[in-house]
Amino acid sequence: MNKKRMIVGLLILLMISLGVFAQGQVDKSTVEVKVLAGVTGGKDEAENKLFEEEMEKATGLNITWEKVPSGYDQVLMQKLGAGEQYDLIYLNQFQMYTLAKQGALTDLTDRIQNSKVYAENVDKAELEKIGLNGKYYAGFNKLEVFPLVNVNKAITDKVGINLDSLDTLDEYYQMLKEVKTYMETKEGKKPYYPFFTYMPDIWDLQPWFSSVGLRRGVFVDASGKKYAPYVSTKAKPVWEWLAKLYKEGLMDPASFTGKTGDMRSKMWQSQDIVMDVDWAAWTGLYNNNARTAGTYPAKVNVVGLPGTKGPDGTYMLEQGGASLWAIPSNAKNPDEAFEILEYMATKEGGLLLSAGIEGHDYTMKNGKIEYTEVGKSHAKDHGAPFPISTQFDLSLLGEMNPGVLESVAIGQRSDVEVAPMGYANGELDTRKYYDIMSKWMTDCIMGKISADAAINGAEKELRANKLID
Amino acid sequence: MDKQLVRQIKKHRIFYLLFIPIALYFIIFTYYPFFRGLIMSFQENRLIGTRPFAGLENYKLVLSDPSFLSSILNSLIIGFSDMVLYFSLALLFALVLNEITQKKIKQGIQTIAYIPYLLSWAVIGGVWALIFDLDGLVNRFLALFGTEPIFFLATPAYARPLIIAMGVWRSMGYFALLFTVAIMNIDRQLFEASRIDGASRMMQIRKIIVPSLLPTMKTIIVLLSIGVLTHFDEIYVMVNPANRSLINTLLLYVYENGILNFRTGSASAGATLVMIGTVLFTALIRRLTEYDKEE
Repeated sequence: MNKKRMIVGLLILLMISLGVFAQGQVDKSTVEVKVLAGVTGGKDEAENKLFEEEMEKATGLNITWEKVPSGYDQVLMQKLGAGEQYDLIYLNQFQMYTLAKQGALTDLTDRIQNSKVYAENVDKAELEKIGLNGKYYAGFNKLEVFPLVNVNKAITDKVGINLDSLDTLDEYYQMLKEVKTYMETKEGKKPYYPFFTYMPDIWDLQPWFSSVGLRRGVFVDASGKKYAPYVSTKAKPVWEWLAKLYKEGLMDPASFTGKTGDMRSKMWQSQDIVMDVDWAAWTGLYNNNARTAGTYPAKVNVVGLPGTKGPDGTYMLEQGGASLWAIPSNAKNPDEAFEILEYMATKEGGLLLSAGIEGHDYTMKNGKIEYTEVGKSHAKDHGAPFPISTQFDLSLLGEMNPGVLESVAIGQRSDVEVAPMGYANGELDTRKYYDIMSKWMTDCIMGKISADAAINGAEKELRANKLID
Repeated sequence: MDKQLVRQIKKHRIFYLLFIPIALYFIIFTYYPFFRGLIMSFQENRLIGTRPFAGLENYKLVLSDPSFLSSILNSLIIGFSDMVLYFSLALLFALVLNEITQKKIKQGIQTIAYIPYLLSWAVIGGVWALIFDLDGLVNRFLALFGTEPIFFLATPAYARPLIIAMGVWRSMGYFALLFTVAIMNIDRQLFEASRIDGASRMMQIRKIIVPSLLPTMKTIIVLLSIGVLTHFDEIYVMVNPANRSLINTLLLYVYENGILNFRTGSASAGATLVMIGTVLFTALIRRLTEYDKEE
């Protein structure tokens, strides 16, 4: 009887112990990790589901991958403002600064510094670029590349221009002038405006301001004073050069009213321009689109150029504002969210965010990637055309679009300096800065006021809005 | 409570019950967000978590912002011009349309004038860009007379007139339709009697039609006054660096500086000021037009 009681007692004890143990070890596949994504994920609802499943398979988590099809910034603001809780949110660098300062993001400094995955896959120099007062509030979505000068060599070859010799503002001016004359007289395209620059955010002017060694944005000097290089007197030659291009019909007037989509279609579809400044990835996309349309390389053969050489002999290009992932301060599952963040930084995660879903976008044959028709149409981009992992070899993606690797390689040259714009230590109201700068630059370029007056006006307005000291 | 009132409520209880869903709809979707926004305008800019009380800081910030002040001026110029033009041109159009005796032609013109109202602002923005672009229809027409092309979309002198004209083009047909319906409801016997008395057509318009339209005119003026400070969509689709300073309106300011920058407090303060301005202006218009006076 006693023996029986003892066995029953032991069994009960064992069951209780197992119960307590099970409670301590929460099955992570039962926790719902909510992700709010912008560009990263499937291209449509059905593919997004597959993307979510792929992510779940890789991390062992139960993930809800909510991809916003359009108007992401507004949706993010509405959802967070309404109290909706997410474990991981997609955001840009400026938004990260704003939300971190509001205390809306989880401090990830310790997690990132202790992460083996980040140590093995993420370049420290990249991490430095997204720090805020020595702390990290986000991890990476992809490796940011940079906009550079894109020129349609198919046209410049016909004109007889050697692109390797272009280094100064004047040399670019001469090239544009020769192309304009050729297109208007020989090809009968009149008027022909060979250069398009998207003015609203003045984001593609860096290769020209490189000639005077200046960068976009607002910086803080050693004494703590905020200053904007583009409104210094040193910048005047670039403002005047742009005004000269417009006056002589070398700059497309649609630069002020058109969208980047207009610029891109003019580059590869109609060849109505010969030069713009666009992302390195677009060098390849222009050519790939033209290849599909049957115009590559006879009519369209875009190549990337570093722009103008600065006073110290280097070319200054601007790294795109980082696209990031952050964990909101009210996230229910920050640990699981960080696991996803880590996975995206791995080689495998990079493959998912670029090539897409195995069996849907591609198949592997003898260690080589073979794209399906769906995969081909998705152009190796599911949020990260260039994965952040240093372990990721771009050759993994198979044949790249023509010209893209050469453009990306420009950023790795020793005489090319790629750096982000000045965010004034995360304090800059970028929207206001763009609006003020583009307004004054437009007035100057369109010849309404002189470069001196425009620079002074812009400086005063930046100061009145407390963007600079 | 007054016994008679209770009796009245009991008597018409079915109508009061039917009113409950409507009241709930407004409470949930209009008044709750409004009061929440009002509270947020007195709180610090924080998207997540508790928002500490910031007093009048957001209002001070917004009212000291030069962009906000210039957006007030832009809103007033564009809003007033739209209000005057929508009203006068729609009235004129309705009166002229009423004189067309051929029913099919009349209906055809009315439909053509009304169609733009059905289009989204994004589509209208695209259409206007095609018309007024450097190589657009207007410049091609002007070229026939040897005129140099005009960059309408990026020339400050044309910025506000273009926005105002866009609004008129889109909405005139709609307001004209309201006037037309009111004209159709005028007692036909009045026209008969005046004709027998020897009144000319112009006299009929002045003495019968226009006075009969007064209630409709009041309603349309009040409706238009509500929209004076709330222009957004047409601005959003047409704004560019060359015209921004002249057409940046209050709601675009609130959207770009508040919502896109995650400044909930500042955005709410800006939106509250727009609402106060609208309420005051509408109240003034109601008073001036004697809108609430019993006929």
